[in-house]
Amino acid sequence: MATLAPLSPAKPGVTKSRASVGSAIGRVALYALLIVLAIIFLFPFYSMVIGSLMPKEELFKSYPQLWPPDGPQLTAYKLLLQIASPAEVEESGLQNINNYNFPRYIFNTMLIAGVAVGLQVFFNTLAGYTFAKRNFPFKNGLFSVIMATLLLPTAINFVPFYLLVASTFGWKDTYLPFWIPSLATAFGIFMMRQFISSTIPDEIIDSATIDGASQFTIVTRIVMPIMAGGMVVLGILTFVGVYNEYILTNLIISKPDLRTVQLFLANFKAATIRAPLYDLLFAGSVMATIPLLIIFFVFQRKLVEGVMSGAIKG
Amino acid sequence: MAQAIQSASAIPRPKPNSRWRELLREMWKHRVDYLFISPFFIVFLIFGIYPMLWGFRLSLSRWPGGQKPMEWVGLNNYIGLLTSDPLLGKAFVNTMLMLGWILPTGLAFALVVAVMLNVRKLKGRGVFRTIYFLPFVTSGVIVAIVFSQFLDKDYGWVNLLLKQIGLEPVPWLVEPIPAQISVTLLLHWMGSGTNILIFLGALQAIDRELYEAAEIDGANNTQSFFRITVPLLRPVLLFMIITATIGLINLYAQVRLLTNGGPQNNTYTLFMRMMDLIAGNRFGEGAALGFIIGAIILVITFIQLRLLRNWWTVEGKMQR
Repeated sequence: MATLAPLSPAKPGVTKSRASVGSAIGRVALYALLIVLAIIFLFPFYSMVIGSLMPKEELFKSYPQLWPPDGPQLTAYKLLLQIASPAEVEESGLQNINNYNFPRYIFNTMLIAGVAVGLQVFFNTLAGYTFAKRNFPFKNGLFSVIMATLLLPTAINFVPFYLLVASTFGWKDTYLPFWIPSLATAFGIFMMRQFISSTIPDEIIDSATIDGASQFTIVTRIVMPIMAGGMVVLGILTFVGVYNEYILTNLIISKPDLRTVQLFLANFKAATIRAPLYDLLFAGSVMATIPLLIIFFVFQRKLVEGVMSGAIKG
Repeated sequence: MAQAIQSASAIPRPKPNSRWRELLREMWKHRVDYLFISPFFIVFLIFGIYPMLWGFRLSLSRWPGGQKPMEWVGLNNYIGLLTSDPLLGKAFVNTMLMLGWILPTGLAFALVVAVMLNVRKLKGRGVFRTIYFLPFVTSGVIVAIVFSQFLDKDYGWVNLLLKQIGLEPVPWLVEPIPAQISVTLLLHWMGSGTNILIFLGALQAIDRELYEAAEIDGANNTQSFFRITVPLLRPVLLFMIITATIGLINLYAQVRLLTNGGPQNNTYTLFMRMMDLIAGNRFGEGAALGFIIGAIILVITFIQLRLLRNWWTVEGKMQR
C-alpha cells in the first residue's frame, strides 16, 4: 500500500481516485528510474570484481562476460599477494611479479592516510572549536582568511610547492609532504566549526571554564568526546582523499618500497598500455578499494549525513 | 541611567597608545586561542604563501633545478607559453570544452536525481542515496582502469550494450570527440554522488510549508520547482559551480591513465601540461603556467558570477 502513496498528498474528496492512479504510475516510473540509475552506478564495481576473477584471455574475448565461464579464479589475487605456485607464475608469463610487494603498498597507503587523519582531525578540531566557541580579537577576520584560501587553486603554487618540499626540505621519498603541509586545512576547520557550533551548547563550555578547566582540557575531555561523530566524518573524508592521492605521490615517491597502492596501479597500467593486464589491475583495484568500502559501509549513515549537512550550513 | 551615561562620557577618551595596549592585553589574554588556530596559519605561510611568492620570482626565471643558478628571463616564460607552446592552447580548449560539458549536465543530472530522492515517503531512499554515493570511495587511478576496459572499443561493456540494441559501436578512446565524452562520462560517474547528496541536503532544508502554500495558490509541480526550489538552491549552486570549476582544472590522474591526453591531444588538460613541464625540469615555465591557470580560474569564476547574477536578477524581475 505504502508504495502507492501519491507524490503529493491528495486533497481529501477532490478527484482522489484519478489522482492516485496517475501518481501510482508516476511512482512506478520513479522507482524504475532510480533502480536503473543504481545499476549504472554499481555496474563498474561489478565489472571490476568479476574481471578480477577471470583469466586474462576471457577479458579479451569478442564481448565481455557477466560471469567467468570456468568459474571464478583467484589466480590474479594470488599473483599479487605472492602466494601463487611457481607453475601459476610460469603460466602467467609474469616472472618478475615477485618484484612487486603488493601488501607492502597497501600498508604504506594506510600508514600515510592513517597518520594524516590523526593529525588533521586533531588540529582541525582544535581550531574549529576555537572559532566556534571562543571570542578573541580579529576572530572573524582570521576566519575569513581561512575561508578565502579555499578558493585558491592548487595549480597556482604547485610547482614551487613541489620544489620546496622535494628539494629545499629534502622530503623526496618520505611521507612528510602528505602530513605536514596539510596539518590543518581550511575545509576541515570550517567543517568542525559548523559541527561544534551546532551541537555543543555554550553552557557546557562555560561551566567547565568556571570549574577552572584549561582550554586544552575542555577540547580533549569535553568537546572531542561529544564531537566523535563529526570527527569520524572528517576523518573518513581525509582518509579517502589521502588514500586515493596520486598526483603528489607520483612526484614524491620513487623508491619501490615506499610506493602507494595508487602509484603501483597507475605505473602498472601505464607500463602495460598496449595490452593491459586487466585481471591483475582489477584484482589490485579490488584489494585497494576493500578497506575504503568497509569504512564506507560501517560509517555510511554518518558520512552521508555529514556530506548532506555541509550544504545547508555552508 | 542617564547619570551613568553622563559619567561614562566624562571619562577622558583613552589615548590611542593605551587603546593599542588594551588590544594587545586582550590578545595576550587569548593567547591559547591563537595557539589553537596557529597550525593552519603556520603551514599556510610556509607551504602556501612562501611558495607563491617565490614561485613568482621563479616564473620570471629559467631554472632546471638542483644547484644550477636561476637565470632571469623577465616575462619570456609567460610569452613563450602563451604564444608558442605547442600544447597549451589545445589544453585550454579541451579544459573549456569539458567544463562546458560537465557543469550543465552534471549539475542538472544531480539536481534531478536529488529531487527524485526527495519525493515524500520514498521507500529505500537511504539505499539509493548510498549506492549513488559509492563511487566516492574509488580513486582516479582505479576509475581510469575500470573505465578503460568499460569503454574499450572491442572488448568493452558500453559497445556490447550498443551492439545489443542495434547501434554501431563507438570508438570511445580512439576518436577525439568520443574520447572527450568518455572522460566526461567517467567524471559524471565518479562525482555525481557527492553532488546529489549536497543537493539533497539543501532540498531537505527547504520548508515543506512553502510548497503547500504554493499548491494552495494553484501552482503546479513545475512552477513550484522553478519558483521555489531553484531560487532557494542558488547559494548551493554557486558553491558547486565554483568548486567543480577548480576541480576540473586540476584534472589529471583520470585522463593520464584513461587516454593519456590522446587521441591527438584531444583530452590533454592544463594540469597535464604542468606535470609535463615538471617532468622536463622546466620549473620556470611550470611556475608561470601556475599563474596562468590561476588567472584563467579567476576570469571563469568572474564570468560565472556575472552570468548567475544576471540570471538571478532577470528571474527576480519575472517573479515580480
